[in-house]
Amino acid sequence: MNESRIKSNIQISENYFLMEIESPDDIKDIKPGHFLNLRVNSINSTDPLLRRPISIHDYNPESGSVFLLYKRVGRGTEILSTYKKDDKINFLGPLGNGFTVDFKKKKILLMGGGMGAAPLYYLCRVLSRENRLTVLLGANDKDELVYFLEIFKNTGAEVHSASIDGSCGHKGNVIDLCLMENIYDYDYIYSCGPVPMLKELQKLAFEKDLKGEFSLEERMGCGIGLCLSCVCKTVKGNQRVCKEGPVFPLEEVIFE
Amino acid sequence: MLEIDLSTKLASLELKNPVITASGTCGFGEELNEYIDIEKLGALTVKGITVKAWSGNKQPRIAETPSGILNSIGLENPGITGFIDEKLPVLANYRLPVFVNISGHSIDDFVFLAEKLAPYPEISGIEVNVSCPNIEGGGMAFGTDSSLVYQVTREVRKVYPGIVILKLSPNVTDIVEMAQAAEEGGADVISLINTLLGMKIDIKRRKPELGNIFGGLSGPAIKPVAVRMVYQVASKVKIPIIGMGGIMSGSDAIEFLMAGASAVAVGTAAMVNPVLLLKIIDEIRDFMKDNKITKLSEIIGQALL
Ligand SMILES: Cc1cc2nc3c(=O)[nH]c(=O)nc-3n(C[C@H](O)[C@H](O)[C@H](O)COP(=O)(O)OP(=O)(O)OC[C@H]3O[C@@H](n4cnc5c(N)ncnc54)[C@H](O)[C@@H]3O)c2cc1C
Ligand SMILES: Cc1cc2nc3c(=O)[nH]c(=O)nc-3n(C[C@H](O)[C@H](O)[C@H](O)COP(=O)(O)O)c2cc1C
Ligand code: FES
Repeated sequence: MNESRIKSNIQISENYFLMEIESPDDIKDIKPGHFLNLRVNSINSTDPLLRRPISIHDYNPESGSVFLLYKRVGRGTEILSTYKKDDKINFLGPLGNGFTVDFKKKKILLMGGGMGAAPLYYLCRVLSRENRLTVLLGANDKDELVYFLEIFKNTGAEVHSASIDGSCGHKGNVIDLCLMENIYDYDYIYSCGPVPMLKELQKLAFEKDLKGEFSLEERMGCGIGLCLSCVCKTVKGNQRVCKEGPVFPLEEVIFE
Repeated sequence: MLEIDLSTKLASLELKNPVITASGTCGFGEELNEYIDIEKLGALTVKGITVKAWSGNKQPRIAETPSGILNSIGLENPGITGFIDEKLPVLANYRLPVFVNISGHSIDDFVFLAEKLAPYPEISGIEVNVSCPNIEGGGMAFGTDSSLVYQVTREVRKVYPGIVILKLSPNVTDIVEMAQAAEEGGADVISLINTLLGMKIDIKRRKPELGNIFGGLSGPAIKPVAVRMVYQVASKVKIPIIGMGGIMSGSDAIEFLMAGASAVAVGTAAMVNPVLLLKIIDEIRDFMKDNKITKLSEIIGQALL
């Protein structure tokens, strides 16, 4: 368990917030795909009771900063959005397995749906050093895309976007973008986002025999493998998203 | 310096302190040991085991409620053979008493499980779960009929030499009747309480939040109900009680002890913060120190009138 100082917590669009926290000294190994399980209540308060899982959005070991990008969707993230600079935040983590990152000279596709793009950013930064990356981003509207477009472009990756309302990039969903790309070209795919999107992408990947990884989300109780709240179906049987995951080889996940 | 004796007795078994993990919230020990030294606990109770491996209920399996959680895990477990082959050898490495929680659809299931576990001295006892709200056509049905509680207890008692704990359901009109049935059947210990059946509705989707529709409520929200039940049972039965339901702190645990529990189990709190398990032990010790109490037994049942 850890407690860290918040360096900043800024609103970057109507419901998106970026939190920078001091990375604890004893934590050196923070991998893309890891997440933190944050306590959002005050000490000794029992409501809201559960922690909230949020992915590592970025990590900068030099400045000792961990970045979290979150969307305000309910009570817990609402409380998170009220945290101020120098407040302390309590969390468990980094948790989970993380993405595979040891690739060189490969053509890699990253595909993020909505907030699913958040964990892909740190991954993108790490992979872009020695690989060629294309990033496809999908969201409802421009408001949800501008921030992501800017940061992903800064990594040197090729970036395309799609919005449901057509206010940014292609009008439609991110699967359309994927169909426009020559998907055969890619050595590896990473994706995170809504299940219907992952399901479609998995179908495409199966057709073209492409390999890759999905980062999944599931409701969590403990976040550390104790309670079996978070299991998903895979070809290896049920797996805990918090422990064996959240990242799984895309061909292993079984969507209902 | 005041010597504080935190030890407590559950029938023939002495625990070095009264804090036990609640079944289903602490995996099989290994995961928890990454966060705390589990050997510091009084005992460990593992996830409910069934005759065959179960894959559990559909998602979502958990929902948050005011100071509580609803779960419908559905007893996902590796089955008795999987448990004995894969989990037990790992558990046996730890020096602490282990209770194995068992669940079934029939008396035969419970007897079969008890027989399978009987040969293992590394297991201190079995916790017979006649109260799981999360399995279809069984589980809780046993715990809501006192003649079935009596029969299950008696049959399991015949085949199991170690400590037999009966874990009762709070979803009954008269908890004392169930506890007395367990005592008459030959139980050594009673565990109280399992989760309370509840539900939550997602008003945006206009649908139940849990995939299984209903789930079991745990956490601080159920503590007053649990304390009341422990108190009622302690007034009427002689065998020791493991009290649980919403314990988050040493003071919560002491309430249960004063209501008549000889030990306590901690579930939801361990999920939220595993370190609380050990903190609760420290806080009980601090309370005793502050109040010049040297033996835990001096607290047990103190609130009983
Ligand atoms: C591994 C993982 C990584 C995540 N990373 C991010 C991230 O980087 N940025 C981000 O904005 N969100 C992320 N999420 C989703 C985030 O956890 C939820 O949006 C958040 O918990 C909602 O909490 P709330 O109290 O505001 O919402 P409420 O709806 O009030 O929450 C009620 C309960 O449901 C749970 N819950 C609600 N939505 C989700 C969800 N989508 N996934 C899991 N649990 C949920 C909450 O944790 C809480 O227990 C991630 C989820 C997981 C599992
Ligand atoms: C996620 C979860 C899983 C549980 N699984 C079991 C189980 O397998 N067998 C059992 O007897 N009780 C099970 N329980 C009930 C707990 O052991 C305990 O009786 C109950 O949660 C009340 O205690 P608490 O409020 O401290 O959690 C489970 C509870 C939770 C929250
Ligand atoms: S959330 Fe408890 S096991 Fe994954």
